[in-house]
Amino acid sequence: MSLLISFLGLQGTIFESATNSLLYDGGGPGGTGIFEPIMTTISSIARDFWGVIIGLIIIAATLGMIFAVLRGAGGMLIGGSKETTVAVISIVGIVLLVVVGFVAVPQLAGLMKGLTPAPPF
Amino acid sequence: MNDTLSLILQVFRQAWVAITVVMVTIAILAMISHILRTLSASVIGAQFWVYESLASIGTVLVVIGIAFLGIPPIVSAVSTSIPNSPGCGPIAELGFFASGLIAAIVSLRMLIAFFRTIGGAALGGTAQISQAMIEASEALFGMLLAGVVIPLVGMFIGVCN
Repeated sequence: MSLLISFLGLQGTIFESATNSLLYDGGGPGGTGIFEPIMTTISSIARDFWGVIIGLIIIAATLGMIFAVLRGAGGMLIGGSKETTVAVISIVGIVLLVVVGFVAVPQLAGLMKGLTPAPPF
Repeated sequence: MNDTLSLILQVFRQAWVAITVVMVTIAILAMISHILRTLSASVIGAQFWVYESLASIGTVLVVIGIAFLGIPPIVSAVSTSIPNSPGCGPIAELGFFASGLIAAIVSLRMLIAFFRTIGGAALGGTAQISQAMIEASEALFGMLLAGVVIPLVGMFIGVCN
């Protein structure tokens, strides 16, 4: 549980950095000018949506791990080593998927933001 | 006319920046949504969904790469075909106005075509990359045609030799 809480704390940092700097920071070269009010609204909605998705990922990962533990415990109860092995692999896979997602997506977002071209006209 | 052209081009540039920012935002949200979908699919054991979600993430990245890296050089290269001072006489000013706007309109049209593709990929549907390429080709063809038509119109009307 403490690990989950510390992970949530880390996610809070990732969430802030992603929303404050990656989603929208005033636009690229030249700014958005007359479209600024629209962009502010869109970025606000996008931040909220990001928070919802992150929360859902954490919930789904937690439930998935609990379910995998249940399967593993059931397998151990009846002496099924395969079920136990699958359960351990599932837990590791879920954790890896979540960590890769939380680390890779902001990095890819920074990459895409760096690729944003200036108007070619 | 120069001031009007500058003003309109400034609005188009701001629209370009706004569209690119929205594209990046949608791509980021699409990737994190597909991460959630992949996670959910792996928990319930749906292998096809896992592959589909991972493919969608790759599609979003590819389309963004094609759009951001491909459109500016193509537009810059083709815009050299547009005469800077097309025509002569009374239509010279109008031709100059039109030639200044063509590249901007074509760029935005190509960007919006890829924007629609990213929207489709973000929702998990089929990414109509071919449709985006067709629209981009149409826009480029129109741009090239305009580069030929503008001087011809001037000669046809008789104001140019």
